[in-house]
Amino acid sequence: MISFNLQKYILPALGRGMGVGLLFFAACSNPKLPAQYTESQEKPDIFPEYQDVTVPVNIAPLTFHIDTEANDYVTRITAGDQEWLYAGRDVCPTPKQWAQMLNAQMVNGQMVNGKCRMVNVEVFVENNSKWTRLKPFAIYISEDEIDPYISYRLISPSYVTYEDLTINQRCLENYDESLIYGNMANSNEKDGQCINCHSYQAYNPERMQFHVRQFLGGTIIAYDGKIERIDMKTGKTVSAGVYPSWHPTEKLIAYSTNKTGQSFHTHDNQKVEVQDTYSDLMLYDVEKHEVQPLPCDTNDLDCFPFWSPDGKYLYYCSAHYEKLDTAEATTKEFDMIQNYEKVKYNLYRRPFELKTKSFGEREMVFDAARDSMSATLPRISPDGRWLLFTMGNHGVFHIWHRDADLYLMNLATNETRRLDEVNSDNVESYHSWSSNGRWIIFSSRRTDGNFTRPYIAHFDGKGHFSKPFELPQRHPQYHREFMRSYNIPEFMTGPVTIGSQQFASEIRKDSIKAK
Amino acid sequence: MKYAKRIIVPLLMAISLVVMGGMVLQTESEVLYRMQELSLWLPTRHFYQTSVIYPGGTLTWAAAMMTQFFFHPTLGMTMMVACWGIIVVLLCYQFHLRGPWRLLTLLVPLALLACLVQTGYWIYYMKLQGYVWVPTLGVLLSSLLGFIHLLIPNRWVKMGFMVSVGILGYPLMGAWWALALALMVVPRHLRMEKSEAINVALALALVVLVPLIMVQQFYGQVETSQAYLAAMPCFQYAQTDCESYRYAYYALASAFVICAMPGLIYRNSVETYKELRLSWALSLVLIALASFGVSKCWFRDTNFHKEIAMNNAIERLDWEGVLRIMLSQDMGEPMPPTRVMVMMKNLALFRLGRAGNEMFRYPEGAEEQHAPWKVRMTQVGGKMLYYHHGKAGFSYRWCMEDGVEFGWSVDVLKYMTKNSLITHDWEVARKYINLLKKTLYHREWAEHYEQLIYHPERMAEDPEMKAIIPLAEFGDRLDGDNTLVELYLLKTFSSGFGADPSYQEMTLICSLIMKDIDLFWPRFHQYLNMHQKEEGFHAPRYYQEAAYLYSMLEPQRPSDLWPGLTNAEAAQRIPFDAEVKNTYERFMQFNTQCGSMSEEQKKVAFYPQYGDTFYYFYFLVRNQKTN
Repeated sequence: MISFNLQKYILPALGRGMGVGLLFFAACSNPKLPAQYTESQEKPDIFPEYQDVTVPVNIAPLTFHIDTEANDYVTRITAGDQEWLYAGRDVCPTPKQWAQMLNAQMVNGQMVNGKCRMVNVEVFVENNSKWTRLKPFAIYISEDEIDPYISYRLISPSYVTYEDLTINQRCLENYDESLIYGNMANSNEKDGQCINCHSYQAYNPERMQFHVRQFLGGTIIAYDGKIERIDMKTGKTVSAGVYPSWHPTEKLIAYSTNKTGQSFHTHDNQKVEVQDTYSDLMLYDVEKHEVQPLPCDTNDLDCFPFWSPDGKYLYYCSAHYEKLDTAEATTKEFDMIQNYEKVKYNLYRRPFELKTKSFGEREMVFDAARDSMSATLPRISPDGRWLLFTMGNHGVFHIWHRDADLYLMNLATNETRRLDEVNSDNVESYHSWSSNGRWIIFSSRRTDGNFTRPYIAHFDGKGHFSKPFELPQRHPQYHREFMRSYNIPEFMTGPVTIGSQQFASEIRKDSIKAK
Repeated sequence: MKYAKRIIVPLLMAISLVVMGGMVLQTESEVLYRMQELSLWLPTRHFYQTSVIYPGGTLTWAAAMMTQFFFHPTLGMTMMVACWGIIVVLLCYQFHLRGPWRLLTLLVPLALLACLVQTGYWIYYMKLQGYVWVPTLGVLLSSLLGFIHLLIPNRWVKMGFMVSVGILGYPLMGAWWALALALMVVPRHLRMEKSEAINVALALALVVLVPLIMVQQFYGQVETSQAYLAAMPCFQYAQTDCESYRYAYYALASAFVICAMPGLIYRNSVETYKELRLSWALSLVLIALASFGVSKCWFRDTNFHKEIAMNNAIERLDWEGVLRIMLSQDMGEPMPPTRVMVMMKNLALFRLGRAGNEMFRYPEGAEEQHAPWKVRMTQVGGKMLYYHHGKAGFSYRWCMEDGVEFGWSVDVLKYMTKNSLITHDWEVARKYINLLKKTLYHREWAEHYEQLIYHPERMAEDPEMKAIIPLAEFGDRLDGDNTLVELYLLKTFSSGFGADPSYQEMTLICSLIMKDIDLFWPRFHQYLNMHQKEEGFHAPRYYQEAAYLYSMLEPQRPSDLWPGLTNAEAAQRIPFDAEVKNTYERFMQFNTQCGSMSEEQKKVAFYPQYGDTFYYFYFLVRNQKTN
C-alpha cells in the first residue's frame, strides 16, 4: 500500500508542482448556473458513457468528461434537494460529494417513499454566448452492494512479446489500485517471465493462484498465508495447468491443459486467431500435490472449467474436431488454421463425487454448434440458478472475436437469451459474478475496439441486467490514454495482503513437483 | 593581453562544444530525427504516472520530453550542447578548477557525446525511455545538485540537503543520484576537509541502502539486482551482452575522476608557470585522447545511416530521395546494402512506376546489420514495409509487439493509426490519433489522419494511401510471417493474382525476385493482357529479360503466352527488344569464355558489363539471406 501511495500520489505530485498555480486559479472560479438557457433534446456526449446506468451504493465516484464541443460547460448534479455544480469538461465529484449524493434521498437511513435512489445530471453548454441545457440523464443507485475489490491482469494486447505484466487489485469503493505481483520483480533482459490466470477460491483473497511462465515458471498457490510454487508438468497431460477453477470449498483446483497456437489475419481487423489444438481437463489436489487428468476423447477440446457453487458439477466448454484434411502430411495445427471457422464449442458439465474425487459422464448443457455458434467461459451465479457465458461464431478465444457476446441461461428452464442490454457491437468476453450474485463484471472492447476495459452491470435476480458502466477512474479520460488491457476481472471480498516482492521472493525458491 | 588570457580557456571550451554539436548535426541529423520518432512524450498526468513506476522515472520522463525536440535536429542538438555548456561551468566550480585545468571538464561532454553517437542499432532496441537524453540530464541534474550543495554555507544544512537528495534522488533520478552524492562529498573530501569523512561515510551508506530499501518497499516491479542500475541503459539484448557499449559510461565516470585530480594534486600549491604549462599540456592531451576515443566509438556505419535516411525519405514520400540515398557515397568502406535497403529501393521504384526498368540497376546485397545481436527487419523498417505493401494486419501486429517490448513511440502510433485506417478500424485509429494530438510536433499529422475517420472516401485521394489501398484489398486469411518480412511479402505477392494493375505488377516484381519460372509466366501473361493495348505500351526491360531468359531455359515447355506453341517458338514471335536478346547472347558467350571461373570470380567479372541485367541477377545473385 505504501508503494501505491508513493507511485500514484507523491511522485506525480512532485512533477505536477508547476501546474499547482494554475489549478489554484481554476479552483477559485466557482461555477454558476446560466441565468438563461434553451432546452435541447440532444444527449450530452460524455466519456465514459454513464447515462442512465445503475451503480452499487458502495462504488467509487463516477467521473466523466464531456465530449460535446462547446465554449464553456457547467454541470449540475442534483440528488434529493441538494445540488452540486461543476465547471469545465471534466466532471469529478469528490468522494465526500459523492457520498452526499448517494445519501441525499435517505431519511434516517431509509429511502424516501421507497423510491430507487437517483442522481440527476444536467449538462449546460455555451456556444456563441448562448447557453443550452442538453438532455438530462440519471445515475441510478442500487442498494445491492458490490464486492469491495476486483483483480485483473494488466497486459498490452500484443501477440508474442511482453514486457511488464502485472496482476493488480483495485478497490471499487475508491480509486486505490495496488500491485499483487509484477513479472519484472523476477525478470531481466536474459530471463523473462510471463504471468497469468489469477483465480480465487470463493472470492477469498487469502486463497489464490496464478501462473508464472518461462523463467522460474510454475503455478503459485497462496493458501491462508502459505505460498508454494508448483511444477504441474507431469507427463500425464499435454501441458501444465492453464485455465483454473477452484472448488468452492475443497482444496481442489480444476484446470484445463492446452496446447495453444496463434495465427494472424492478413486483413481482418480482428487481428489474430488463437486456437487450441489439444486441450483437456485435470484436477489438482492442493494438499497432496497430485494431478488427475479427466477422461476424454482425443478429438475433444475441453476448456474453461468452472465449478457449480455447490461443488457437485464441473462445467466447461468443449469442441469436437477431427482433422478434415486426411492427408498425412497435413498437421492438425495447419488443418485447424485452415478451418478455424468450423471449430465450435458447446457447454457441458460433469457430476463430481467428492468422496472418490471422480467425475461422471458428461452432460450437454448448451448445444451452441447446433446453431453454428461457439459457446465458452461458463460461469454459474452464486445461487446456482443462472449460467452466464460468451458466445461467438467460432473458436474458443473470444477476446479476439468482435461477434462475441454475453448470453444468459436460466438453469431451471434452459431458456437462453443474448444479453442485448449488456452487449455491444464489439468484443464481450471474460466475465464473473459478484459474491452476492447481483453484479457481473466483464471485459469489453467497446471503448476503443482494441483495449479491454472492465464493465459492471447490475442483475435483478430475474434474468435482467441494467446498462453496464465502465470501471470508474479518478481521471475520467484515463482509459483513453491507457495502453493496456484488463484481463480476467475477478471479484474479491477483500484485498490480497501478500506484496509483490514477497511473492517474488517465494517464486525464487525451489518449486514443488506435482505427482 | 590579460583579457585574452582570461577568455582563451572559456572560448576554447565554447568552441569545442559547438564543434561537437556541429559534428553530430553534420552526420547524425537523420538519426536524431529517427530517435525522436522512436520516442514518445505526452504532457499528461497519466504519462508521467506510467514513467514513475520505476526508480528514476522522473529523469527518464524529462529525457523523453527533451528527445521530442530532435524533431528539429538543430534545435534538439543546440539544447543538448547548451546543457553540456552548463555542465562544464558547474563542474569548474564543483572541482575548483582554475586556468587550463578547466579544459578537463570537456571530458564529460566528450563522454556524453560518445554515449550519444555510439548508439547505432540500439535506437530500435533500447527499452529505457528517453535514453538519448538520460546521460546528459543525469549529469546535469547531478552537477546542479552538487553545485547547490556547494553554495550552502552551513555544514548541518549541507548534510541535511545531502541526506534529502540521498533519499529522494533515487526515485527521481535512479542510479544517477549516486553521481549527485559523489559530487557533493568527493571534491570537498579531496580538498582535505576533515569534516567530510563523515559525509563520505553517510553518502556511501545512502548509496548502498536506499535502492535496496526503496525496491523492497516501494517498487514491486523491480528485480533487486537491477536496483542499482535504475535509469541506466541496459546494453543486453536477449542473450547477447554488449559490454563495449558500456565503455562510454565508464569513460564518463573516469572523466569525473580526472576532473577531481588537479584539486587533489595541487590543493595546497600556488599556480606556477611550470604548473600552467603542465595543465595546458595535460588537458589538451587528455582531450585529444578522449576525442580519439569518441571517433572510435562513433557508429559511422554506412548502411545504418542509409537505412534511416531512406526510411525518413519514405515517410516524406520522397521516392526519388530514397533512390538518391541508395546510390549516395558510402561513409567509410564501401559495403553491400542490407535487405531492408534493397526492399526500400524496390518499393521506391515500384511507386515511381520504374521497377520493371530499373530494379536491377542498383547494388544488390544482403549485408547483415552491424550489431552484436541479430537485427530483425521486423524492428528495422519491417512495419513500414508491410504498411506500404498493404499488409496492414502484419504491420499493426509488429507495431504492437514493438510498442510493448521497446516502449510506445511516435513511430508505432503513427503506423498503428494508418494501419487501422486501412482496415477501417476507426475507433482504434481514433485512440492513437488522440494520443498523437497531444504531442508537441505531431498534432498536425494526427489531425490530417483524423479527417480520414470522418471522411473515409478521402483515403482514395490521400497521396500515401491511394497507392496502398489497391495492395491491401484482397481476401483475408490466417497466416504467419515467422518474423521474416521480406520472405513473407515475396511469397504472398508472387503467388497472388489481382485485377488491379498496381497489385498485379507487384506480383510480377515479386515473382521476378523469387526467380520462380512457374510463378512468373502467368503473371507476365496477365501483365501483358492488362497493358499491351495501352497506347505506346512497351514492356519494361526486366520483364522482357526474364521472359526471354525463361524461354531459353525451357524452350520445349508449352508457352503460357501463346497456346499451342513451345516457349522457343513463342520467343520467335514475341517482339522482344533487340537489346534484350543481344545482351542475353553476349552474356551467354561471356559465360562460356569464363567457364573455368568460380561463381565468386564470375560475379566480379560479369558485374561491369552485366551487373544491371536480370541475367546477372538470376545466375549470379544468389543466397541473399534475409532477416
